[in-house]
Parts: sequence; C-alpha cells; structure tokens
Amino acid sequence: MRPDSPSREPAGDPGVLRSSTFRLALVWGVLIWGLTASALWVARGIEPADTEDSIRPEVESGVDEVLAELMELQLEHFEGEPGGEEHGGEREDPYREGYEEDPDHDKDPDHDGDEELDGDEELDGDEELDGDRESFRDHDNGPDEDEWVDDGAMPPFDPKDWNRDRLTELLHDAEGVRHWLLEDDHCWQLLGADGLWLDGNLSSTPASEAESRWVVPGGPRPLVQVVGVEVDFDPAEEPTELATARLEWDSMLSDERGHCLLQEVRLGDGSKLRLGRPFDPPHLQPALLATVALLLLGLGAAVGGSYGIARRTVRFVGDLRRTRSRLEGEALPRMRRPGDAGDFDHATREVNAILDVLGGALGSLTHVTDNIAHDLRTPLTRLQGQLDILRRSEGPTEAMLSAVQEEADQLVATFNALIRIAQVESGQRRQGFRHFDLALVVADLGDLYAPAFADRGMPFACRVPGNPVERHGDPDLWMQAFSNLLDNALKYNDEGGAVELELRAGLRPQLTLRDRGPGIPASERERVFERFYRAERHRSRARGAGLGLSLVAAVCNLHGAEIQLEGDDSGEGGLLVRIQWPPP
Amino acid sequence: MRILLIEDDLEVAGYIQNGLRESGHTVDCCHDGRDGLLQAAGGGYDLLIVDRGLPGLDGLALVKTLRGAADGTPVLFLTALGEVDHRVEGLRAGGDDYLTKPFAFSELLARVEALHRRRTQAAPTTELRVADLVLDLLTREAKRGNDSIELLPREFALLEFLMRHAGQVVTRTMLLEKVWDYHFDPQTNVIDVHVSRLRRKIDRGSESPLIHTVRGVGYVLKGPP
Repeated sequence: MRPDSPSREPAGDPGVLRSSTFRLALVWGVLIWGLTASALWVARGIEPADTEDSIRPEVESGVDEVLAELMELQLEHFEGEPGGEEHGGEREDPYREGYEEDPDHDKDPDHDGDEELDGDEELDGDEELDGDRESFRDHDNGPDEDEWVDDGAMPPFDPKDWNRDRLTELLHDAEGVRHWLLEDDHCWQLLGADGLWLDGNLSSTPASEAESRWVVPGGPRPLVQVVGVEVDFDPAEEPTELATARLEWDSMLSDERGHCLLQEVRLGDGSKLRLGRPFDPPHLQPALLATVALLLLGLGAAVGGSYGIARRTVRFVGDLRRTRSRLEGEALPRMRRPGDAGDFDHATREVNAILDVLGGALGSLTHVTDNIAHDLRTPLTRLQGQLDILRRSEGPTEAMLSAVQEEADQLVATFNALIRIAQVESGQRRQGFRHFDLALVVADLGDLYAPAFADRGMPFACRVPGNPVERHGDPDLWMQAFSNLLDNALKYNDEGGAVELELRAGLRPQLTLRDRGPGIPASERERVFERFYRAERHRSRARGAGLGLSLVAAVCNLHGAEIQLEGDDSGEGGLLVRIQWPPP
Repeated sequence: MRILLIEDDLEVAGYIQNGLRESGHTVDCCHDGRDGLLQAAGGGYDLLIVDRGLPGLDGLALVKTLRGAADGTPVLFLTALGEVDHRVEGLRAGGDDYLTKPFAFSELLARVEALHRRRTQAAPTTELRVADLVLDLLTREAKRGNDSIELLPREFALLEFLMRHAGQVVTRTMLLEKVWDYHFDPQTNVIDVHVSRLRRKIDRGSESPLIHTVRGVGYVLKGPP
C-alpha cells in the first residue's frame, strides 16, 4: 500500500493533464511524422516524373535554353538588330523557333566571337525539353523589359561580358578556386577593389530585395538579372575563402527564372570575383503540393482523433487513480469496465485480473501470517512453561529436559517445513531434479513404513510395478511428500483399518493411497492444502502443524502432477489420495 | 580430536565450540573464509566444520581449494536455513557430510564423531564384531553368540551401520540418510520402529542388550563396559 494520500491528486488535476498532454504531443508527433512520410511516399509513387531527380535536368535544360537564346541575341547584336523591339507579344516564339529551325545558326561563318560555344553539344539537344518551357514563360517580366526597351541608347554589346577565356584567366589567378569546372551556364562578375563592376555576365549583385532590380552600370546590356538574394550573402573575409549565397536570377531575354549559387573569391589586387552556377531551388512541385495537402488532411484527422483519445485517456487515468486510492482501504477494489470491448476495456480487465491475483496472494499471506503466529504461539507457550518448571525445580530430571528438547525440536521442524514449502513453491528445488525410478521410491517408502503400520495393527499393502517407472524430478521431495501422506494415514486411520498404497505405471503414472480413517469432508478437501489448516474432526486426534498436505500439494505442483482427495462421505468413510503425473 | 570450526556467526560458533569442548575435543575457531583456509592449510586437524556462507571466501571454494591441494581432512558443511538445498553440491565439492541449521547439537556431535570414526576405520573389513555379536559382510550372516539371527536386507544394513559406529551415538536422520539413502524428515517414528524390530532380534533373551536408546538424540550400539 502506498502511504501517500490520494487527496493530493484530485481528479483532473494539472499533473495528470500535463502528462496526458505530453503523451498527446508524442502521439501527434508520431502521427504527423507517419502521415508526412506516407504522403511523401505516395506522392513519389504517383508522380515519379516530378521527383527531385527530374527537376534538376529540367532546370539545367532551361538554363541551356537561356544560353542558346543569349547566343541568338548576341548574333542579332552583331547583325545590328535590337532584339528588344521584337518583344511585343510573341517575343519568345521567334527566338525559339528561329533557333530550332536553324540550329546551325550560331555556326554561321559570318559571326565572330562565338567560337567558345561551337563545340557545345548540349545546345543541340534542347528540343526534347521544349514542352516544359511554357511554365517558365508565364511569368510577366514586363517592367524590366520596358526599362530595358526604353533605354534607347544601347552601347554595343561586348562579348567579353561572358568571355570564357577571360573568366578562365581570372580563375587561374584566384587562389582557392581549384575545382571550378567552368560551364557555359555559369554566370560571373568581376568587381574592383572599390566594389564597382568591371567584367562578367552578371552586372551586379543586390545586397537586398530592394536592390533586386538593376541595370548594368556603364551601359552594357545585362544578360542575367539578379532579382532576389537569399538571406545571408556573406562576403568572404579571407581572400581565398568562398562565400556562398543563393541568388535568384532572371533572364532579360528569355523571361526565364532560375537560381544560381553565388560564390565570391577575392583576388590578389583587392578585386572580387563572383561566380554563380545554377542550382535547384525547392520548387513547389505538384508532388510537394500533394504532400502538403495530405499532411494537412492527416493533421486534421490526428487532431480529431487525438481529442477523442485524450478524453478517454483522462477518464481512464482518473479511474485508475480512484481504484488505486481505494486500494489503500481494506478490501481490494476493482475498476469499472467501459464494457465496449475496446482497448481501455481490455486494459481494465487486465488491471482487475492483477488485482484478483494480488488479492488472492494478499489473502493467503494474511491467512498464513495469522496461522503462523497462532500455531507457533501454542508450542512456544508450552516451552515457556517447561522452562519455568525447570527453573523452579531443584534438579532438572532427564524427563523434564527431554520434554523441553522435544518442544524445541518440534518448533524447528515446523519452521523447516515452512521453509521447505516456500522453497518448493518458489521453484528453487527444481535445480535438484534428476532422473530417478519412481517405483523404487515407492517401494522404499513401503519398506520404511511397513513396520510402523504393523505395530499399530493396520494391514498395509504396497503394490508397485515390477519395472522401473522413470521420471524426472527430486526423489527426496517425493519421499517427503509420500511420507507426509503415510504419516497422516498412521495418525488418522481407524484402528485395524487397512491401508493400501499402489503405484500404477503408464504414460501418466498414478499413485493411490487409501485408508479407513474418518476421511475429509468434501467441503474441506480444498482447504486442507492450505498451510496450518487442519480438518475439524482431526484436531483432537493427533498433534500436527497442519503443514503436511501443503508440502504435498507444493511438491505435486512443482512436478506438474495433480493431486486429488476423494472419499465416500456417506459410506465407510476413508480417504483416497490420488496423484497423477503428467506425461514425461 | 582437533577440530577447526570456520563459522562467521559468533554466537553459533561459541555454542558449537563450547559443546565440542565439553565432549572432549580441541576446537579452534575462525570467523572468516580466508583466515579459515590459511588455518586449515596449516594442517594438523582431524576435522573441519565449515559454514557455507562465509565472508572473504565462501565455504565451498575453501573446501575445493583444500581438496585441490590434496588435503583430505574430513569436512562437515553447515548451511543456513532458507538457503537452497546445496547438499549434493557441497558433497561434490569434497564435503563429507552436510548439516542444515538450525540443528540440535547432539546431531552435530553424532556426525562429527561418525566422520572421525570413518577416517580411522578406513581399512576394508569383512567382519564386524561387537561383544558377542558378529556380522559377516561376505556371507551376510549375523550371529549373537552361537545363535544365528535372520535379518531382512534393510535390517542387515541398519545393523552394519550401527556396528560400524559402535560406541557412537547415531541420530535418526543419520540412519535415514545412510541406511535408506533419502534426505527427508518423517514426522512419525518410522525409524524407531525399525530399530526396535532389530533390537528385538539382536537383544532378545540376552542379559546384556547392545542397542541403546539415547533419549532425544538417537541410538548407540555398544557392548557391556
């Protein structure tokens, strides 16, 4: 029993709520995690084309296309055609179609400065990706176009803006840039020590969203416009250290958007080289949308379900607490069952079953303790009396001393019996198990007890099979158990009454012992196995602690054997003890 | 007899020591397993009484160590009530006898003397003789004077045990263990019945009975002084 008072925790107190809230949070967490995982899995399963793997080539191809269009633009510049004027309504199509219809356009011998791109195979394979381009082109980039278009006096385009050789040269000088494999879709810019733009196809990088719209300083037409900057663009402090920032760039020409990862490296003369390469931003793809939708759906379900669970949990915990507080009373209470055959009903049933077992154990413990106190008080009182007599007598006689000795021996025997029962019941004696011949044990028993029965004038018959009855167990324990039964027969049998002991072999050997004593009434046959229990009509007939049959029952139980007491209540009386072993 | 008692419970040790001294034995006492082993290894003892649960070194390990060193001094194990019955384990480790606490001192004394006797009578013999009682172990015949005595096999075994321990008190438990080879406590006087039957056969008509009852302890077979 717990000493703490139940009043300290009234029903529905914050402690219980807190713990149930914590458990709810846990349940939620698991639910949400599970839903997210399954939603993602479902989304991937449904639309494999939209998974990350397919996004990257899409973006890359988009960038490729931009470059291809830049080529076109460059060529147009060389031809003296201001490309911006074409941007009225069907701007994209002429470019794209022009490119597609004439893929060798850039190899036109009339055009100078495009050698860098001659060998680029990727440009030839763009056709396959056209289908996805529309989604990028829906974006309205009008104001920039207007600004750019309005800027009437355009300086001639300088191809060095994205001059590969120049960049290669710069990279060669830049320490710390050893693994930059230059691709045509890379963007770059060179800033002087004063921070002013010197070179590159990126004219500037904005420090904030506010500066995201810009025009190339000094007039060159921007090839790529950076329209947004990721939160922390952190210029390198060390000359060789690369800082990274994510920029969203915007092509003035194709109206396409992309992202590039910008890295900065300081050059020896204080100037800065910024390099950008495309990367995949986390697109809000259909798969992702589906995931989010599923997630929200699941969340709703989880919230709804959790509320129900929470209410039932709180009620269940309240029931538990009330039952526990009643546990501190006298009798063991039982929990009220919801009766709906649900989880809580099962839990309640289990709790009640535990209470049943505890109640039984507690009852038997109380009973045994009472009995030990009671049954040992009598011999101890006798012992005290005998010691008193000894003290007052002038010289203790041998008989007096023997009586004291006998009393003490009886007490020790009772304790030994109690401890032996406890050992047998706890299964400790199982370690003494071995193979033995049960027939031999019973024969030895008959041999040991035959003279005692003969002395009392009781005909005694012991029948055992001629062949060994092999069993696994503790023969000493069986000897003790059988001898307890025969001791009872010696004590309680009627004078001259026959006693028959028989062992029958078989898959399930059986031992029977029959006497002609008063027997045990059917109503008491279960109770005689309890410790210290002595059948009413036996009390006057013989001394005994009432532990003999308890040990027999414990030994039978240890070996998996069944013991039964039978008798004819109306007829000649007598007791039939039957022990049946399990199959080996 | 020189006896070494290794027992950590001071009260039990004192009680055993006093009792054995009163019976004419010399008793040394150790309260720790390690001290006990050193003392025992020093030799010169006729018997060791060893408690199973000892501080320092437990009784079982102590005896195993001694036996490992080819020390064959007889050992009587004591074990506390409530412990699992380790009798077989104890005997296997080299113990010669085993006694469970609490025990009557008379039981301990009887066993101590039986162990001592066993050692001094190690030589194989074919005939046991006490006064005019002769037991031929080969022909399995018993004779009192010139009268042949008919004995059942179990009675023969009982008499043999009593004669081998002639002049020594043997307890009922000892008889049950050594003659019947079972370790249990009969609650009735089954052993007494067997002894009195044997006594009737041996001592019937004789002016000098050989089998005597030692009240509260057991029996002793001895000839007239």
